[in-house]
Amino acid sequence: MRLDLSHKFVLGFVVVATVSAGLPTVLETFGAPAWGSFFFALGVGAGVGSLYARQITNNLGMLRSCTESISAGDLTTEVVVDAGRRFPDETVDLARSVAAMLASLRELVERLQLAADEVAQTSRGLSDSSRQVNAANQEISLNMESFARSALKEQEDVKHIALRMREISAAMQANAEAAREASSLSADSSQQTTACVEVSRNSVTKMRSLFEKIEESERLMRDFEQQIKSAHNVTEMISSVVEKTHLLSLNASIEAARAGDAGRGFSVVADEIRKLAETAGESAGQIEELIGHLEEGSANVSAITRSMGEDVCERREDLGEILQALERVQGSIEKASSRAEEIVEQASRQSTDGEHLVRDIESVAQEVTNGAKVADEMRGGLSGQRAPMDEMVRQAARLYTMSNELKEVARRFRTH
Amino acid sequence: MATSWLQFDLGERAYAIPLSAVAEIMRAQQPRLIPLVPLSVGGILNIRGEPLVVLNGGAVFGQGPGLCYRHVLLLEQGDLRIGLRVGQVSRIDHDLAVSRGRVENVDDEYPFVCRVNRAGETLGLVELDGFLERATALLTQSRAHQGGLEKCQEAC
Repeated sequence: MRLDLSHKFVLGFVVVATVSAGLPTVLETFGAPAWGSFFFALGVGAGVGSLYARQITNNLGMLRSCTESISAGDLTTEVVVDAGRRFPDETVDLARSVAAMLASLRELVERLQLAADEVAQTSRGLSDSSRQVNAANQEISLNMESFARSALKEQEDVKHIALRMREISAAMQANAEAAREASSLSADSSQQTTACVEVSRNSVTKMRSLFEKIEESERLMRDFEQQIKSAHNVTEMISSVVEKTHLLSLNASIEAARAGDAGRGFSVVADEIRKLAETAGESAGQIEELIGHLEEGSANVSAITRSMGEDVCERREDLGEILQALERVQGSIEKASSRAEEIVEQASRQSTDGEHLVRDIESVAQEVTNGAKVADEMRGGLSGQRAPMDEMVRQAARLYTMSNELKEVARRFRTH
Repeated sequence: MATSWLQFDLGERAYAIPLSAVAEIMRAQQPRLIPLVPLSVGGILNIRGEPLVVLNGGAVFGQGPGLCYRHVLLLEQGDLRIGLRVGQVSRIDHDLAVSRGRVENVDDEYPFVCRVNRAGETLGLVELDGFLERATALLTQSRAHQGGLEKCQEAC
């Protein structure tokens, strides 16, 4: 049964007042002095007051120790409430409230500690992530800067390549023009070679006829040489006759001289014979000299014609080979002409491709320029993000510090 | 009366001999050789059935061996009849006027030859008596050789 403190105090006063009022009568019944009732009433009052005071102080003392523990951070203290008391009062209610408050506080501190831990971990992760993001941004910024520089260099390279490609394209066009000219020359050469082969065929026919004539002339020269040798024999015979005639004239002169005056006429005849022999000898000598020249000349001519004949035998075979070689040359030149036309076609195609390639490279150069600009802008954007990211890192660090402080504060409350 | 001369070549030299001593000019034939005679004696020729001893002109005139003989001169002087092999007879000269004052050289070994300069050429004039004396001496020498040989054969 619940009994408030005011009721208890009223009930005590009532008891003390009843004792004080009725006890003298009782004492008087039993003959006891009246003043004894005073002490008895005093004792009853002291006992009741002591009982009530002990109950109140016990509860308040327990609450005081409990609140002191809470203030000291010890939330493990249990508020013991005597549930079996017959007459609970406000102190019990206070103890129960303190117990409920302690439980709520313990739950709050525990949640606060958990939240502080989570905030600390989160802020640490956020700080780390921010640092990583910042480092990544810096790296990206550096990469973008490097990319921008590379893009600028590539831009220069691509411009240089475009210039070179333009020169190559011009050279390709010149090559195409030269190939076209070479093809034209080759076609002319082919026509001229065809005409040359035809002329060579005619020449070969004429040369064969000439070779036959040379062989015929060689045979004639051999016959002429034989005839000259025969003439030489005749002149030798004439020379022998001349020598004999000369000897005869000398002997006739000698006989005429030995005959004296009788042989004077014979001496004239002998002298004429001698002159005739000398003239014949001179003529024979001239003929011999002439025949010698003819013989020498015919020997030379015969040697030349013999050599020519030998050469003819070799050259006759050479002519066929020359003609075949010319025909092969003609075939080769025709192939070369065909190849030159293919080269012209390929060179023209390469020239066109080269122009396309130049345009493509110029387009690539423009794209590289745009890429360099975009990279530069991205680098500028990343540089602009750097300050907020630094601020976010600082805020995360600060949040981490605050979470640590909160954890320190929450750690002062011991819940287990 | 002027002397007629018969000019002939012997080797590279030209000689002239008086025509009066020349009986005939013949083409050179290969003479039949005579053993044990000097080299100046070429051999014996058969001239229309008559033997003729021929002398080698090269040996007689000091030209040495190895000459080409094309003609043989038949020389007659009195009873002496001898042949002389020469290179080639060139001509008969009827007006060969050579004074003694133009004689330029006379070889001691061949005193019968007088060298004269005629028309820029050196011509050897053969003095007939001296030549015949040398020829006679050569023939005598050959006979002496023949006699010695016969004596030697008899002794053996």
